[in-house]
Amino acid sequence: MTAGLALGGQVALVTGAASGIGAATAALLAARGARVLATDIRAGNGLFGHDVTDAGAWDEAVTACVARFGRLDILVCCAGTAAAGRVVELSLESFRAQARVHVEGAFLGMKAAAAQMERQGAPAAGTIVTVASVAGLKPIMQTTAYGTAKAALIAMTGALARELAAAGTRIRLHCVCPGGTRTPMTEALYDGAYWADPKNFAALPLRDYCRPADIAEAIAFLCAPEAAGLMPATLAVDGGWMLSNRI
Amino acid sequence: MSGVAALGMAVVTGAQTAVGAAVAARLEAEGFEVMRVAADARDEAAMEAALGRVGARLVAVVNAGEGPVDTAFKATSGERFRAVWEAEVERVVLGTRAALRAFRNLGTGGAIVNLAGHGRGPAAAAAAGALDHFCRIAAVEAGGLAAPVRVTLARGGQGAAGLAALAAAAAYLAGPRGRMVTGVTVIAGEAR
Repeated sequence: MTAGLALGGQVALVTGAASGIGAATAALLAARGARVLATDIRAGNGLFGHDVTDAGAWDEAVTACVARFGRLDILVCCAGTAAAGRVVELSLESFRAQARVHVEGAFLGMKAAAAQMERQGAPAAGTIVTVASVAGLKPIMQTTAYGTAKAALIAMTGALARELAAAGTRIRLHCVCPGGTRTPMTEALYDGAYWADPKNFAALPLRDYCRPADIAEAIAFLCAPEAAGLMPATLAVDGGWMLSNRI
Repeated sequence: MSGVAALGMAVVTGAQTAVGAAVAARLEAEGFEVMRVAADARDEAAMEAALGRVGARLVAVVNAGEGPVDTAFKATSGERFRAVWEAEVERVVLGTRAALRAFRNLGTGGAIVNLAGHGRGPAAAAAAGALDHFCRIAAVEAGGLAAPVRVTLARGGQGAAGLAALAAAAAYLAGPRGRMVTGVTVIAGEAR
């Protein structure tokens, strides 16, 4: 284990852990020594069944985590769903579905996790990382539902970070904003030929797309004890996508 | 970490400052070989000599400095403002330029991590804002090299916890864990 990165003794709950960024994050946190409850709406394969839009399901997930590992120190909200389309054709149902998962899901999760961290002693301590998107930082065509939900998630994470700090807790919150990342979710929007063609990434400063492990590394860094002195971060992991004028 | 210098060599300028020393130690603990340059990056000859000695082993350049002290608006003379600007902004610009020239000549990719301080007052605020944006601009240019180079900024770092966080951030940004991160600022400090 590389010095200074260990998460030994910490207990993490990672949502959306069946695939993509969530799966990579659950695996990396475990590799760094954390005990991890990996949850997903698709139960099985060692995953705890968990619909993040359901407040009762959050209570069950946190209860299961505490029953299994004794506590909760880290929450990573990875559960997400993609949608693309023009606003004139956007249905209210589709818009709401994005908000439910990304905004309400994280809202319920942050409430449930902070409450558990407060039960563990004063001052409450822990780390909550939400996974948003560069689509919530900069406008992208056809992301009215997805990008708007991610922008709300970024704002909500920052607001709660300051609220919990002002309340005297040591619960720290960060938001990681991936750029184009090849996952089963994004492969549903862009096929294998898209990811295989370097021309699609040539305008990015780093000329490549992110792998789930790149996002997981950012999350693990923010959760490490040595990072406790960071200000609440909105960290883009995007190959320089935010810097590019040509995308 | 087993295996010395598994991550390649990092040059740390301003290595005698508290920040530089903490970051250099952290980089070593994470598996970098570290060349410490006592002078900060405004000493162009010292920096050029160090980069020349490292040669093709270079993977990261970390530019540390003393950092500005708190100076309230009314107490900030023109002379004081200029001193902070030179010690923070010009130091980072010169350090980035020297590092980019070295990476360009090597034709290899790498990372430049610039560090800035946590002072309060108009001079420190101006420097911080200028540095945030300078690093974004430099990151675009650095991405245009034959092998892309990443440019990031970590600033703040007051107190023991802040210094540890700044060092952890610098190590993350300098190495392979942060390989898709460029043009960002990470800040060590209290939520506010």
